[in-house]
Amino acid sequence: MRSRPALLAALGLALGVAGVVSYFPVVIHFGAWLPRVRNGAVPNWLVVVLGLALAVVALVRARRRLVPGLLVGLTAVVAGSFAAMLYVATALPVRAGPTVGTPAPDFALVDQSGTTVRLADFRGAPLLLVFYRGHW
Amino acid sequence: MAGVVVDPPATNADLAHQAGLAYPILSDPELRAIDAYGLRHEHAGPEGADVARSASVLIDADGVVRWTFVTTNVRVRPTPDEVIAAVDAVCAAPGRCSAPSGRL
Repeated sequence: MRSRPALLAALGLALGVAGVVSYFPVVIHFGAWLPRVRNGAVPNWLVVVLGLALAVVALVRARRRLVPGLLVGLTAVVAGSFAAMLYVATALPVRAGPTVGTPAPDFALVDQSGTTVRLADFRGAPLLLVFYRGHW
Repeated sequence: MAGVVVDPPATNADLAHQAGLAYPILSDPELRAIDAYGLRHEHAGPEGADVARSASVLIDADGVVRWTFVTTNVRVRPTPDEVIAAVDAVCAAPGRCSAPSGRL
């Protein structure tokens, strides 16, 4: 009976870790099909928060609080690391890019078949120009 | 639609073949267009190489920039819904989406 809060807290930690770890294969393999998951990680956050809540409940219910307390702390570290990765480590300085309402800068670049393509080639139709980081 | 990337045409040809991409992927190894659009991301590539900031730019039929999405986080891209909404907004204005070609 005494170990139940610790088990519950361990389950909370496991959920927290699972919520974080599962984000990466989702982004790598399914990011193009699940853009909202990639951008916001909402399902992952739900799992992480559930894990943290379970761990906290276990701590509140425990008579001996050392182990559940440690597990709550570890789960909080996992959640904090996830937040730091999502919102701090991957953040970029703001860049304005081209100004809306101004003429798009011209270019002459070679496509994958060796043909030189210019912005003017697209004149008369709208163009979505997508800039990639590359190095695939 | 067209992509712009620092990679050479051969790499882009491989990518287009593997991913089944039908649109042109334009090679910009000297970052000329990337700089012209203000999208250089310094030291973000392998071995500190400069690359393009992930971004999307919607240009109307007259060559005017009508919508941009410049990411402020490495993992964040515009969703398809956001892009479609931007295209719809541009095409709602007379003359900005005039040609019936399938280039977008």
